[in-house]
Amino acid sequence: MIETRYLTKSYGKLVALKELNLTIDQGDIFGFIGPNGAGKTTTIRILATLLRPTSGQAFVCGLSVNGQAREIRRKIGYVPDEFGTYEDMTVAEYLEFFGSLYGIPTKERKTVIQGVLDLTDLNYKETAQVDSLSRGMRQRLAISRVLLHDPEVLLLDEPASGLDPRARIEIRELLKELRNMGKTILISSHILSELRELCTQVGIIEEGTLLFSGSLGEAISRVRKGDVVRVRLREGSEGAAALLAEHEFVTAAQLDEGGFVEIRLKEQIDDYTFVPEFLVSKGYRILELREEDIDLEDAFMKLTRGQVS
Amino acid sequence: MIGAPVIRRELLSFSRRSRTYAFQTLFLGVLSVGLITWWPAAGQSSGDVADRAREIFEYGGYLQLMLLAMLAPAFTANAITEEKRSNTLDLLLLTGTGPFSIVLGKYASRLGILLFLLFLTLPLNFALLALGGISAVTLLQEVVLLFSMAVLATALGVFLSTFATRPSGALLLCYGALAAVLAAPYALSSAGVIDDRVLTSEGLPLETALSPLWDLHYVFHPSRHVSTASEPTYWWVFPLAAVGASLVLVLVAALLLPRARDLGNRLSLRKVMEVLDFVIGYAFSLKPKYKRALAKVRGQDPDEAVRASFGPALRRPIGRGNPIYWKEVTVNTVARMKHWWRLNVLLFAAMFGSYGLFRRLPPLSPNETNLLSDPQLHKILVAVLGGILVLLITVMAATTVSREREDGTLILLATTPMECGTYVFGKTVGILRNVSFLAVIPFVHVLIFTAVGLLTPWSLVFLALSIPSALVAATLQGILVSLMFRTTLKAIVAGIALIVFQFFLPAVCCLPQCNLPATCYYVIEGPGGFGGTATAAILLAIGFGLCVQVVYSFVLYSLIRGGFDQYVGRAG
Repeated sequence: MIETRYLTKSYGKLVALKELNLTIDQGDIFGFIGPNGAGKTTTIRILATLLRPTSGQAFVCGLSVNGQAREIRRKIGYVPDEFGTYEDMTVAEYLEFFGSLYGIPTKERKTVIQGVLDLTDLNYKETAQVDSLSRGMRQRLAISRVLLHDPEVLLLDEPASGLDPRARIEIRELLKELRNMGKTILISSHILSELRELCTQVGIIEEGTLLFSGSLGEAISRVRKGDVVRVRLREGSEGAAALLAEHEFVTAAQLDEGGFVEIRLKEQIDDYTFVPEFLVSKGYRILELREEDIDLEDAFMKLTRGQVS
Repeated sequence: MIGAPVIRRELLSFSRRSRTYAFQTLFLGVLSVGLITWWPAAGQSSGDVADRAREIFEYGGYLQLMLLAMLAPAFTANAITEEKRSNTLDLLLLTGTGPFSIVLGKYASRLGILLFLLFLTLPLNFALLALGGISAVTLLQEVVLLFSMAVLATALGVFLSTFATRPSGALLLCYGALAAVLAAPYALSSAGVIDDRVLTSEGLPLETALSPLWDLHYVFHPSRHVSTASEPTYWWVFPLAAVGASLVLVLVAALLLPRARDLGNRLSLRKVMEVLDFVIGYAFSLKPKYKRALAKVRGQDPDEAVRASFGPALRRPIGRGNPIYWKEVTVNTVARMKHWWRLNVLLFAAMFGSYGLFRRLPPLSPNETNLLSDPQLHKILVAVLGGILVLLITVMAATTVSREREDGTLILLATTPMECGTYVFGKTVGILRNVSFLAVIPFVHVLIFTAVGLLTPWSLVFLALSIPSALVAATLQGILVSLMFRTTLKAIVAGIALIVFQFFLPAVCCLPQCNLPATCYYVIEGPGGFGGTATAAILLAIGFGLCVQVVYSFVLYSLIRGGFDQYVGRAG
């Protein structure tokens, strides 16, 4: 649905995007992660036909941004990171205005507007002035706007930025609903915990270079250089750590601050069942055993620090 | 030193802006070109050379005054508004930098830039001094006057910037206030507050104390203002008053700065217009009790009838029309007024009221009985109305796109499948529709005086051929400027500069149609004003001008179309 090939964008000497190769399939929710200035907004703006790439290709719904921008605009919905308001416009007028710009026939427009207002739960604000809405409501209105013409692809640039927790949860629920509707969504965000719940795919970008693209599980396994297992013993933790450190499947073993024995397995070792077997055979009594959890934040931190690139 | 950190920061940011150097180059360039063009030819007698030097000095003085009035608001209108918009004003106030330091810093830095501009012109003035014809005292008086004008205009800009929510609002208010200062004596003289006796009698001449323009004239030609050479001259009153007024303005701005945002919101144009709407609605419509009674007779709900009359205006559906046009005529402060068309009634009432005033004033031509029956007045009035219309429409068009860009709504439009034609057509027709209630005034005025036999019917025909096409071209020109400039402030200044340049254009390339005030002036004539041949000649000229205007509009549209996607910030 979205594809970029060696996509490059330069502003004078500054290279904002370096040969970005990205593929997003239909129905995917693609979380685009990266530090500030990494090139997320530039990528989204190129896909939204607001910027022309310096070199390379970008395709949306099989259409090239170089030469088929007009056709692409009918198939995408773009929510920028800053919400633009028309003073003196009510919510209904705002949607009617954009509905007419997207060429929705007059007869259908009212039904369509009611539909998107139902979806975004903004019906009760239909007659409210846009500039009187809270930030969360404005963001829901922005999503309503881009849903008017039923686009196949949604490009959302930091949609949860600056929202309070409640508004963030509302936006997340709305996006889940859109996912169920089969929309392809490219979403950039700094709030990684939300992307983890929402996204089927993630892309991690730094300094204009795509460091990783794939599923969340792949991202985690990419940063995990050997599992870490923690064991709490009734007694003799120090001796057990010394014994384990000598084991052929173990890279290192040591006591952590919580009194657990932290066992770092060698890279090719996936199965850690040998740990309890080994300890029991040596006469230790195990109280607790757990695998260290690596989440998206860890993956992001490790990948963007250049540990995997 | 008070305000030193703010002054340092401001001067640093000014020195990094290309606009600063562009203005300096423009200011000196215009003056230098004027000086070179008018410089006396070799071989003239010393008397002729001195006369020419005096002429150049005089016109140079007026030109500098006008350029100052143009540039000072452009430099100062964003002084505080930008801090408010970027939320840095609160940060400045929280640092312990007092409001007086902030305002003074902003004021002093901007004034410094303007005074530097004036300082740069001194060598040109000294060159004229060497030619003779002007005295060193006159030169000193002119410099003091111009400096005081810079002091006042800068203070006015900073003051208005403290209350306005947008730089464009402060800019337009500042231009309005400066225009009033420059034209005050004529306006007061027209209203009968000051008269000719004041100009020649002993005592403080009021008009020179009020306006730098008159004061400059007073400096150049004291004999026209005082009856004898021994009478004291009061040229120093305006500079003194200007400095005093500037201090007051800066002080008041500093005192109110901590509440600037709140005051700006309270004094918004929208709220003023809402109040005006309510007042004219109340004044022109039936009183609620009669409305209730009427509704009862009609079998309607009386409360609903009253609510419908005083409640907010019902929105217009877009339907199949142009959405950009719909937005232009619906989503603006005037269009939101339920009783907006009644503004026309007020305007016409003011127009008829002014006739009573003109009737009492002496005519401009010696063979007329009063000013109202003098065709010269109608020529000037219609020319002024034409000038106001063109300026207004240019400013409206110049702000239309840049404001959307500043508000972040242009980017939303850019991602829709909107075409250039839809956008430009909607904007142009919308802006024309918004000023239509003003554009009918010159027509109605000429129609009335044609009907009473004071003006020839040809005036109406020529006007009908000239005004619409000139307004279309001015709108397209304004839209192009607005598309090209990133901020509203720059777009307004560029639009006004373009219009002012065009007002001088006919002398260069004989395109009267590009200059609506001049066209309006020349096509208004009394009965028998145009003879048979003259009518044909003027008709031909107007026809030619109309063709030029149509071609000009096409050129403008082509320029807009060619770079449209780039202007609105999207890939083509």
